[in-house]
Amino acid sequence: MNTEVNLAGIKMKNPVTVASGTFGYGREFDELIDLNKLGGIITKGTSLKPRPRK
Amino acid sequence: MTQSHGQFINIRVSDGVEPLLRRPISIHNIEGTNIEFIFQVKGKGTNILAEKEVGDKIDILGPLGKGTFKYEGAKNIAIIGGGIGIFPLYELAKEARKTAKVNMYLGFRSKDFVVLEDEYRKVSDKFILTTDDGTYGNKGYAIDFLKEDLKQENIDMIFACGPLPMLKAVQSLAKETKIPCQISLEERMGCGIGVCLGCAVKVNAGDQEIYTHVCKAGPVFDSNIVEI
Repeated sequence: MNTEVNLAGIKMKNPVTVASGTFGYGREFDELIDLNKLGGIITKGTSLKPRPRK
Repeated sequence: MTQSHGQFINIRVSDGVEPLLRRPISIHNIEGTNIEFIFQVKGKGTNILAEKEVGDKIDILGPLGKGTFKYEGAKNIAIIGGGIGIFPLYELAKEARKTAKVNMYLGFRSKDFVVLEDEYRKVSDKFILTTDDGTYGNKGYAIDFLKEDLKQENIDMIFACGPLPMLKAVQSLAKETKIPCQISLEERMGCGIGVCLGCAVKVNAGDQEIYTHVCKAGPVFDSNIVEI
């Protein structure tokens, strides 16, 4: 079965993603599941350079 | 369950989504296959938890936290706790006492807030209880009694858990006296397992400042590296 999707130009092998704030950067779950099964990972809002909290 | 001190469990308080997030509560004591935790009723979640009855089943996730209290090699330790922060210190004292002298300093706001005095006294070699207003025990702050004792006691490790001002004072004291010190931190948590990244805390890693997470790298940290 072909599960490929195109999300606004982003080609994903399937439409299954993980929501922002539930999955860290993905690597935190590396040992628990095969990340390659996912169509994509949605991270929290992020920035190019580290930005202090306070 | 392996014996680590200072970990917590993340407790599901409702079957539905109201409230959604689990409540992180420290482990107070481990006895065989039983764990004990104590909590203060503060909001919606803890209110629901307080309604549970003996025999009810609850859904817990844990034990959580890689940062635990470590006392190997210590012979004369000081444990200092404030208010409800004293709860995770019990198990540490009970176990550490097998190989070290335990000097316990507990501080509470006033007589009404004093809890578990007898239980903590039993797991201490030296026991000091203070209330800010002097309505019970010694008047003043627990840390001042520790500072006084440091003049003649050779304390080789300090462990602390309690309100932020107390932890900051302990952190300064440890820095000044160069006594190794471990503090247990508290932060509002979402997942409790290091993926929502909500409980971030800044630490010094060499010349770098990075953020790590109280739920995963903590809740116990070396007081010299963490910024509070």
